[in-house]
Amino acid sequence: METLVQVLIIGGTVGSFYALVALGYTMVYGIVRLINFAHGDLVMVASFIGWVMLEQAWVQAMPTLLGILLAAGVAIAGTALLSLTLLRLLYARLIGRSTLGFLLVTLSVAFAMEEIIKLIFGARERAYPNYSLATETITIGAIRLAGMDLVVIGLAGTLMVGMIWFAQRTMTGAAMRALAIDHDAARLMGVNVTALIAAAFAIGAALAAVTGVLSGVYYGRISFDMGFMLGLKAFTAAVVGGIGNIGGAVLGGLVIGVLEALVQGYLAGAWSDAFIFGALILVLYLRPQGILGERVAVRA
Amino acid sequence: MTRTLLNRSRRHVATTWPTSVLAILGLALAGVALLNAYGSDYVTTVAVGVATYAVLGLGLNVVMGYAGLLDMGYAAFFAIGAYTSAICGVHLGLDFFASIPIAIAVTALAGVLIGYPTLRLRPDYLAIVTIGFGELVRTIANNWDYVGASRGLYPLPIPELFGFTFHSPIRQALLAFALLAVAVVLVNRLGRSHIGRAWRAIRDDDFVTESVGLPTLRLKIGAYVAGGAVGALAGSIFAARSVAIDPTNFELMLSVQLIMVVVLGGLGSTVGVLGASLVFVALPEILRSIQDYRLLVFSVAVIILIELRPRGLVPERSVLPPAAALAAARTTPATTTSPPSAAATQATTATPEEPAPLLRATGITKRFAGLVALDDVSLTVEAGRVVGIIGPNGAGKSTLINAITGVHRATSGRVELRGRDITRLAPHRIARLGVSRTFQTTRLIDQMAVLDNVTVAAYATTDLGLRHALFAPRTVRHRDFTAAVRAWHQLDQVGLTEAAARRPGSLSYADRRRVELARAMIMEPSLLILDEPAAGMNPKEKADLTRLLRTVAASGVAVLLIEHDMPLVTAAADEVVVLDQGRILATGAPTEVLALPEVIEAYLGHPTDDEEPDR
Repeated sequence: METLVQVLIIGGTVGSFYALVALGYTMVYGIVRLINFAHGDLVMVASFIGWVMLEQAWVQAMPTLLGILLAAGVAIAGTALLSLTLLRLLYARLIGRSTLGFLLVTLSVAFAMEEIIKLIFGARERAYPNYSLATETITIGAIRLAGMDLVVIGLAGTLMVGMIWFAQRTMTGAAMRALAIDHDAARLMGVNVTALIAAAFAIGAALAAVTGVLSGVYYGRISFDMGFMLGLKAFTAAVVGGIGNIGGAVLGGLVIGVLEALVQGYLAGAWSDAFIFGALILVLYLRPQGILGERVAVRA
Repeated sequence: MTRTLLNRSRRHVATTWPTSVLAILGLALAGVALLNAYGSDYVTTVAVGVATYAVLGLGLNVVMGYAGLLDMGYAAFFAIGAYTSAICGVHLGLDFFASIPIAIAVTALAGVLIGYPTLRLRPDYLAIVTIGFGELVRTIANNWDYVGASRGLYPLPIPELFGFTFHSPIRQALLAFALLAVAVVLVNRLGRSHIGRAWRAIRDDDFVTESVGLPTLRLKIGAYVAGGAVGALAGSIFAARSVAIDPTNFELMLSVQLIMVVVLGGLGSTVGVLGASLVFVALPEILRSIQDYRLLVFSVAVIILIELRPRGLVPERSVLPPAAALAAARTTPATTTSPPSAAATQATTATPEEPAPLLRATGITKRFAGLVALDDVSLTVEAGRVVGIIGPNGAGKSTLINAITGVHRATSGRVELRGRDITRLAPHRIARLGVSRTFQTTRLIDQMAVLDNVTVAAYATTDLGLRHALFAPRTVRHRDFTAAVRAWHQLDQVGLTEAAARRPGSLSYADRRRVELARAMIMEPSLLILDEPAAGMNPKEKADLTRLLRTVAASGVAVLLIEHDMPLVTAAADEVVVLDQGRILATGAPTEVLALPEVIEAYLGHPTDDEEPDR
């Protein structure tokens, strides 16, 4: 029982990371029906921006929490800017014109970013500073909880609730949902698609940046190749939850995270990727629209 | 320069099949001979690596270049092929050459299992599922003790053919190049066949292909599986030349690099793939210093290439038959225009007591989430009659057509073709039963010449299969020739032969409609459905269209004509059905129906209060 709770907590933490990244996929997908393969690597870039900030002597001189917040802030701004620049320079002209071109360009951008980071920082892992909170534990009865797990789940949970609120209660969110349901109708109602695409890219990048810095603090280590597979699993989460659906991304992220933790906790850890991708293929067989999603079969 | 030369020679070779096979085999052998004379063992090993890469690139090219599907886990096919071949050798004691077909069969099965659920969905799902598939296969290989888990499978037996063992690098090169030659020949044949043309059409518009009778889903799965089979062949080659195989040979990065090779080589181009493989594998061997930057350079190159010509990603290659064929078509006497269609013969043999009409739709209701688009609509069309469907915008005319042609399944009701229930059939099946249509907003495949746009619909009536595409290229070419001649005659019927070699994008609106008409007619329909065919036509063209419709009907074809142009409907139709708000308002002879007050009201609306006093 105690182990189950601990496994679920770990699953919730990993799932929170997936969910935050999945939100970025799902918002972009909801609007343009395209997969941005470079999204996962934004997490990596953000974690390096955060690392560079935290390595600065003047940041280290600050109170820990303030330093992390500052690093996260710079990472968010930098990643959002990077994402918007890529959108403007490379992606925008492909959207709606060449699906294959968009997929291939984002894929190449992902690997170009990895290679550039590798050139700058080298192939070896980089360590985030050690924080006392990262090793803090809370004991409730027989269950020992790591403080960081609670921080991650709490923070990510707040962001997720915020995103759901954003989607349901704001005009921009309503416009995004409308676009996901019926592109043409939404356009005719005066929805500014270009602006919404930019908003989705920026918000997605910001969430990816939070994930990047948070996972750096949580795991303590970052590397140039940490992003792509994280991105793939997050995309899987978005599909399982129902792509294009913001609540679905959250749900899917948690489902995939818990599944991974369960396999690692009770079966063999090495098999967890096989389970995740096996689950993806199974979902596409049985319920291609995902848990909360709409129809995706092609019929013009 | 070299590239154009190669292209030209390739095209030249293509016109004489057996020579092309010999030439390609000869090239492969010459390559091996050169390696034997001048290459060290090291160079030869690199050359075998290039050959393996090239086979992989060719296979992925079938999936990506021909059919336009993004497969991000192509390494999985390579892995399954290599592991199957290795298992056959290590565990089952089977001969290497016997293991090749087994490896291909196992890979093809995996391809169907992955392709079937995924290819029904939007195209980008394939990308993500194939990544998952690639990781799934690698994870299994990495953890399964039967295949040696992360240690890998070894020692692999040395292939042997009639006592000739492939143990030295040069002998392995012989094997690898021979298999590469086989792959080149088969992949090129596929690309040039009717199947290749169908793939190119699907790549551009898989909705149209379905409506002209191409089994789109099956063809997509076919492309995915065919590509996989070639990957399995590469896997076998890899197993044959390796002492051991382990999971690190089949990582995601390999799939990504292969995608880059195929894109940079020019999607759909065999020579391009061969060249890009050479550059990708051999160049870093020569320039050690670029090894570290290889992935970065290739990524940036792909980005630049796509950004510079986003639409021209796939080089446009017309598959127009040789000039001689067109000349022959031109000189064929006009009396042989459009062979009497199946419907026509059917109609002439039809006796008055034949019970079932050609098309009978009964009680068709279609709801879209609360909105009733069609409400209990019934309709009968007899062979040889032109039935006009008129009605204001939003009356449900296009929905009715979609329900008949299987694009949307009716919520309730029944559609029968010659008494056979077709309500639940897939669109391509209905098309093959003799229902062809044109679209309200024309849908032509802009990457193909006008003649090919028409020819592609001849697929519906072909009895050729994969077997012919691979092993009977002469038959395929002969049929292609015949189909092109038929397409030419159909274009002649609509007066568009001079545009045959042009791309549809350069045609006027009215001409595009006429190409659609020719495309519909080449399917030898018994029921022809036209969705606003006269839109954009001038009076002269409308008169021509009316005459054409009467000719078509006179040959025994039933015509369902949706049109807003009332004079045209009056002149062309035997009978008119008026739809309004999803219901049938009136049916009867054109002049009578159009005079009915409720019909006029449906079109022009109620007189408003302001107008009332004037009347």
